[in-house]
Amino acid sequence: MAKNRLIAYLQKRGLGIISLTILIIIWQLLSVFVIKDFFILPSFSAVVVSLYRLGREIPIDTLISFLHFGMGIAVAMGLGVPIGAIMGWFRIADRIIDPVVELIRPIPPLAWIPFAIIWFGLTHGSASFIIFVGAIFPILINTYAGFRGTPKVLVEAARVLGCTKNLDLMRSVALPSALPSVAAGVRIAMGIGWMCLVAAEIFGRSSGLGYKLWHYYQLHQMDNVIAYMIILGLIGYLLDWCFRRFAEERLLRWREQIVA
Amino acid sequence: MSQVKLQVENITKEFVNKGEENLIALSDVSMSVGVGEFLCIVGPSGCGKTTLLRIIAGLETATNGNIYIDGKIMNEPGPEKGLIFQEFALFPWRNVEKNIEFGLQFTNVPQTARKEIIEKYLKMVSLTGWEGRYPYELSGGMKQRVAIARALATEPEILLMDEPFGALDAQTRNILQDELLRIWKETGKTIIFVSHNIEEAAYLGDRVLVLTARPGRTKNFHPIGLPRPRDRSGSEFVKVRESILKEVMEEVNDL
Repeated sequence: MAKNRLIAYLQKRGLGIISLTILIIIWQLLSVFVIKDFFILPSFSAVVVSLYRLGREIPIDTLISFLHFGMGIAVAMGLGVPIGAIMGWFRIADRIIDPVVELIRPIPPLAWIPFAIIWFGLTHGSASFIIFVGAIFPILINTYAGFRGTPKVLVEAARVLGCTKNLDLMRSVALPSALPSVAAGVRIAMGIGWMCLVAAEIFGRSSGLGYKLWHYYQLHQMDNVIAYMIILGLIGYLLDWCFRRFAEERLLRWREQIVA
Repeated sequence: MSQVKLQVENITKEFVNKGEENLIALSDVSMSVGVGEFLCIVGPSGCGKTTLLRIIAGLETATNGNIYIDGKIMNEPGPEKGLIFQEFALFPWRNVEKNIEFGLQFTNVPQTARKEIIEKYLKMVSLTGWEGRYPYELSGGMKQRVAIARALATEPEILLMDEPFGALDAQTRNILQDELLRIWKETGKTIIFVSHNIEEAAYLGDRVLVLTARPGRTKNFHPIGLPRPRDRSGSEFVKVRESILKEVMEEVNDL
């Protein structure tokens, strides 16, 4: 039984495993026999050793990074969902707020770094702020689109059933109807927020995955840099995977395409 | 006619189109519907029958005229009227039970009493056991049963139905027509039923109102004096159906 499952797994993932293995072999050979300079390209084996050596600091750095990331995303959701909802539901709010959003939105999040430092100092707050700036707009805009796209017939059905106040309609009809769109926005925001993380932490002076990556670069320990790159990539992937699982199983179970 | 439940008085509806000529959908429509009456409305497409129903429901405001229920002006949506849509309009994120519960959340029905009400109406539409299913798991006919149960749960006295069986196949439609007649008899509701299907209107209604082509006016009220259950192929039924059809066709040909 277990053997059969192993075979089935290999059949499904076999090609992927082979291509990854080949990549690792090429990397190792290239580094050891062609480039021969671990500053330019550390070997795979050296990176594995670094990962092992860094086994104690990485969890702490991960926690610090999660703190920055979590605060940034939480505030972005806390502001982005209500603002997007109000803009999507009330035309007048859309006309008032939209120009402001469209003015600020094209500014790259990293351009806010100087002001993040001035406003928050070299604290966890400034790193969180950069992630917040990167995350709020996809959440806001997707929430807006979701609310605006609430099927008219559902709003009418709710109204004739006695749900007539705007707040009730927003909570009981527009929000659940917009939830797939909101979830998609949060997912994009999490991706962007994670990408901003390294830059947001580089200028700090505490710790965190991005900070450490830069720290080891300054020490010219490039094997450690790659170790942190791998961890950043892996966690970014896992975050996305976990969110998707959560959203699909808990929030959006009613959607046919997902359940089937 | 027995006591008047609903009165439509001089309803005119004009849609304002910027840059174009305004569209008059309804012109001076008046009618009375009795308590417990089953009134069907037919007419050529575009005659404003759905608009009329939406005005009665309170989803659309009339340019002129008023709706009276039990003698009182009632131009907004209210607990005394329920509406059934052709496209079912179930909340896809709520299962059957939660869909039926929706209206109860906005009236003062205590949590403890809701379960009983939901069960009662699930049973009435023959969907006991389907409480936990989501709308995407149901067939069109089942969805409309849920929508009917949902509308009945808040106990409106008037049930407004906008081509409710129009999206269903012929067989399901016939079954649901009979179910609707049974529910109507059990509950004593006043029903206003918009249809584009003349046979359906003649089969269901106590009276059938024919509207004229746009702008919609009342052309004629047909009392269907036939006892129920009506025989769709019986000669008397066919005669009634033909006379309604003839009137509707006059309007279609005038277009």
